[in-house]
Amino acid sequence: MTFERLLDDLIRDTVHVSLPAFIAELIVCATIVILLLGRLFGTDRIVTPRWVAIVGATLAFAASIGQFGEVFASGRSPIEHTALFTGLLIHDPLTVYMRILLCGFLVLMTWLTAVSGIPDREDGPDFHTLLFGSTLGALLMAQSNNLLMLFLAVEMTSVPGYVLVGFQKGRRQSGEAALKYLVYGAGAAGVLLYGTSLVAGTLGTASLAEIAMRMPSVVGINAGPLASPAERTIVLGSLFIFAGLAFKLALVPFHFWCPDAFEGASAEIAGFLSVAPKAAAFALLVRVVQSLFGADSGPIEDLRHAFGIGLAVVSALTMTLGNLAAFGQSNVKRLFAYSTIAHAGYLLMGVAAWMVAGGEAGLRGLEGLFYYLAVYVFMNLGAFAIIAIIRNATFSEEIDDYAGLWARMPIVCGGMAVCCLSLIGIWPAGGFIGKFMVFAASLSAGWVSPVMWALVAAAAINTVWSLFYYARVLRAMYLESPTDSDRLEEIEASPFANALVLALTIPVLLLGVFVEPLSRVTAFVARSIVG
Amino acid sequence: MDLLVAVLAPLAVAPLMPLVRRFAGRHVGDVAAAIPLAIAVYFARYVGTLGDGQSVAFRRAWVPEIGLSLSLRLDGLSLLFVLLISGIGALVCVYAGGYLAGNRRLGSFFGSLLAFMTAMLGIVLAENLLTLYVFWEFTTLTSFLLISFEHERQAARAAAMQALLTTAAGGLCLLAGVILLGLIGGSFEITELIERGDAVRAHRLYPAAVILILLGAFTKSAQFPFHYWLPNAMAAPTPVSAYLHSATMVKAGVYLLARLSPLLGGTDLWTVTVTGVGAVTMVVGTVLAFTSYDMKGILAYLTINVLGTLTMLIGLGTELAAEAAMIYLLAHALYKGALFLVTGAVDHAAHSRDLRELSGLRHRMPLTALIAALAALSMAGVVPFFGFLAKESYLHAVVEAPRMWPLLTFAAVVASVLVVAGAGLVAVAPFFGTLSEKADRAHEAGFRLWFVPALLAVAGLAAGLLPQTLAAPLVEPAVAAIVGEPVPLELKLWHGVTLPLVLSVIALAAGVALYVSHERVRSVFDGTRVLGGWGPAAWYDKGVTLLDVVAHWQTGFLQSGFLRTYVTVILAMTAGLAGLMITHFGLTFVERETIGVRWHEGIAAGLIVAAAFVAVRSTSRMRAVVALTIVGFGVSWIFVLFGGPDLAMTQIVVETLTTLLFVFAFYRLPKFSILSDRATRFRDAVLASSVGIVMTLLILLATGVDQYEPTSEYYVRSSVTEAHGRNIVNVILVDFRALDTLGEITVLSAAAVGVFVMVRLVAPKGGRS
Repeated sequence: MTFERLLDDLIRDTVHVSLPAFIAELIVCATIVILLLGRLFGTDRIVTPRWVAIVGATLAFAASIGQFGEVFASGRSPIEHTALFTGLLIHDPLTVYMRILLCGFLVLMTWLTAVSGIPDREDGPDFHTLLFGSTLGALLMAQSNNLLMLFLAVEMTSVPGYVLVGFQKGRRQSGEAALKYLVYGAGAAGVLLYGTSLVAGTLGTASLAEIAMRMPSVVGINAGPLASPAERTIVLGSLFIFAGLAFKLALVPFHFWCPDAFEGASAEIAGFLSVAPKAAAFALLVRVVQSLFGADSGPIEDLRHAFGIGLAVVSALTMTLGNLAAFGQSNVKRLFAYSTIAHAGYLLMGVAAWMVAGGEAGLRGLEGLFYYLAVYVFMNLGAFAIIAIIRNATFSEEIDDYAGLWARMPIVCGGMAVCCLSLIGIWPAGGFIGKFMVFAASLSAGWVSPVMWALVAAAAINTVWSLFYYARVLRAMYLESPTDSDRLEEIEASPFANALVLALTIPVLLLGVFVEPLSRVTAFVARSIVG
Repeated sequence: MDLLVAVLAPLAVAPLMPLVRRFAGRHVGDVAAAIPLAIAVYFARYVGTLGDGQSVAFRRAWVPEIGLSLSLRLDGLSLLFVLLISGIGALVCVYAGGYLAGNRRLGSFFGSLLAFMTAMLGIVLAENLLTLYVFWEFTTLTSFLLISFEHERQAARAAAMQALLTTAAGGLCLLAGVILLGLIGGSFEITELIERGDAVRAHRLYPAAVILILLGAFTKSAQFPFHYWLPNAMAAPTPVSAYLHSATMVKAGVYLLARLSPLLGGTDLWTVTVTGVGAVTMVVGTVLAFTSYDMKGILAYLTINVLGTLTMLIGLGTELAAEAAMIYLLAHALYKGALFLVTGAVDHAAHSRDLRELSGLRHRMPLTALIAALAALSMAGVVPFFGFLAKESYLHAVVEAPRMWPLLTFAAVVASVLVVAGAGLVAVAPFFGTLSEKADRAHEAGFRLWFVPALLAVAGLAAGLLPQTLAAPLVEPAVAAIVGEPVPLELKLWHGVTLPLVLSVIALAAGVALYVSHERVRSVFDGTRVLGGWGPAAWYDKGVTLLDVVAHWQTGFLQSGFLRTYVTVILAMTAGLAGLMITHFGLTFVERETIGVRWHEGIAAGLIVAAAFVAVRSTSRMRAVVALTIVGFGVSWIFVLFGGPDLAMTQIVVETLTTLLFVFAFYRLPKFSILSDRATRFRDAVLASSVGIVMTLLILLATGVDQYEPTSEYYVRSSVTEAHGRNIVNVILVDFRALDTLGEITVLSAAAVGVFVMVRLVAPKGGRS
């Protein structure tokens, strides 16, 4: 093979296969470049950065929606798990699904920052560059097909996140939170990198697809569990990779950064951090699990089963600690920060159920996870968006200052009610369906291992607990009379803010009532993962 | 399809109600009433057609993946409830239009009320258990809105909260039970499950499912020990209390028990629990009624009594008991609805519901007094009211109970006595006697406020006079649906002198006697208030407080805000987990030649270790940074020794840049000082060494893996043949890994730009100092 041939193949592959599939990410990149150039040439004074961001995000979303049809419309997949960029990325239904979710999320996010005005005009380009950079990282996370890519994508998501947390200059709390997040993140990155190098070194490849093929040649050759050194190294490496991802997902005991970072950050950034990196990290977790433990052999299935049980325990701990901590909060932002920890626990149930049950029953867990993620994007961003909107109107994030807001901001408070119901998991909000799906999947996984039943019991108790603190927010808004009613007189939500709240909460309700369309898609995505 | 339309119609109209209010003004309640009335009329045509256990079904897939389908079924039991919900719903709409006239949020009130009707109709028509659950939660939600309607009042808030939390928590238990049941039976369709009833009851998870489902039903129907929320929810507007807390919502639990008794009933667990809890609730409700002076409070406790009675009857599971339950249900809906609405009228007119402030009202409100008397007579079980029939049939069922009958009969008689006295409290005490000050200022209620309760009270009398014509067509199919086979029913007032009749007369006489001396008896009952301090409501409060304390403790403990603690936890976890695995499996190092250390490697390693030690111990920042740089260069040396020249190059340049960055950052740092004490540093040293040791062991473990050919051999082999170069380092850098090198150069340039910016930022400052 001559050098020209190689180069030709590379170019043909890149131009004809990779780039067209990668169009949404390219638009995000282009937006970043335009934002930065605008700063350089001073055009950001003519065209507001936030408009550049909104247009960029919308175009990226449109491009991702364009791919929806080719994957899902026919009901079968014309996309044959295409590997992009010499196998570093993969283009499959999960990629497209996550791309649509994340790009849609980016549109809503830019809309939110435009409404709440958190970056002022001066900081706009920097802020949006960081926001888009982090989202780009999340997009790459969701489609990584290589351990190195996995690490780079995780870092690309995290590093702008550190800066975004400390973005409110001059606020001591923000700086402290950013530093904590950074140090913690650096430690987790080290662990993740160490894990990837152990796995890659043992198997001689970093490609997730290759890993899946080579695992059976390493695991279970000697009799007994973890009998060979290679097997042990792989398991330790996997443990470290899981720990690195657990950091991104804020799972116990890697969750410490989350409440501090969220409290230091503005509500908008907290909303961002609680959704985009987490959703992407779940997609990545699924890919890693499928790569490491997806092979069709007894010993590997045992490993998957054991890791699944481990994740179930982590899931139970995560939701319990998150909920207990949320219980005592008087600051709404901190309350929701803890509640997102709890939700990572519920979402993890889907993965655990998949890993424990395996086969057809396990697919239900994945379906539930993907459905839950779609609802989660709306309900969690919705909650944080509403906190931001209320903060702009009342200059407070304390529950007590929410008293009687109902009368002044009916749509915003109605939105909060929908988000809270959904987070609790009460019909007709979509959170009910998501929760139901992962609960049901875990229950049927209980036939394989009763630990899953214990997990469901823990989740049910947690759901009841969560009722108490979510209800406190609603109670303040709807039932309590304000201490200072004059202060409320001037409060009002702008039409744009109201429109945003509707855009965030109506889908939550729709996902609760019209389940079939999306559940068909998630079932398809889940099936495509397992192949 | 018709069923679905009927269920969803109120919900569909609900959002329009604020608009209707704008156009219809005072008549908004009458307009709203048209919808439940239409539903009642529509369903009335099924009366008399479902007697033999036939049913009408509708089914459509909703979320097939999880077995959730929108399937509805109308049978005799459903029909009775549908008619109650829609019939009383229409009356309550009319009444509320008068009661809340002038309220500016009337539109949204009727919207919530109609949405609530959809939820209730959905519950009683659901054929799929998940659908039932969905509507069940929807009642929780809409009832929350209705209870908190007059939310300016502090009491309304707390009550709404408590009701929401209790029933929602119960609802989640129900969901868990339903899912378990679905897993056991392989379906969520009630009729399919009933067909597989034997297998379900024999399953090892059956007890868990039963207990969870019972928790859901008991919380909803305010059974002991969850009864506390119902009296507290009386802060709601009276029409809401009449509709939700007497006629419909609280009966949803009873409905669920009746619906599922063919499936779950008949076992010891079911019979003992349901009957026992029902009997206790029956007595507790009546006793507590005497601790209240609030007319609505008394009615609420008496409602708890009825709910307990119904639960007990369903638990008994006999044909007689099912009959009695359905008759009693109907009777109660008529008389208790009327009494609630009368109380509302009194409250409206006299601005008080306190028995200590009200007496002699009959002089001012004669019509209302008459209606109250009619309803109370039915409640007390006096001939010829329908209530008499109800009381006699349930005493009959209890006397003939297959087990525990003496105990149950005793409880039933005690409760009956107290109910009679309670009827006196709400219907005699406020209306008779001397005219009190508050009562003096009262006036006769408006048309809607007396007409609606009058209709209910008269219906109670009519049903008593003509039971076979008016009541039997409703009750018979309902009983047939519970029992599972057609049951011929003969309702008549006179059965001859039987034990139930004797008991009924005794209860009536004792009740009247009790009422006459109720002022004195009250002090005795007041004693039960002491129990309140230890009662379920207090558990609820204590539970909430305890959870609060635990939550605060764990948050303060784990989420301290100190980065050091967090890092300690994560490092200890990682080292602990990995160390555990290593010690568990032991270390089997593969003896390899490469493990032998050459002298220059030894020097590099020694240098790194020594420099790291200096960096940690140093009290000068500059010295620490220099030491760290030495560590970095040592590492790059090792890269060179082990065949990674490009890596080494990158490492060297990165080291240099980092050192520069450090130096620039010094300008902005405060004076160096040691902040940690000896113990902390010792702990940190232990932690750091253990992490280091574990990681080292891990690397040694990994070297034992010899699966694939090292890449270096490939380079050695192919350097000449593929790349035509003899200098391997060169070939690797510019050929095999050319793109990597390109990337490294790019990164380095970017880092250099960063340093340049840093220099520009810092230089002026540095120049000045």
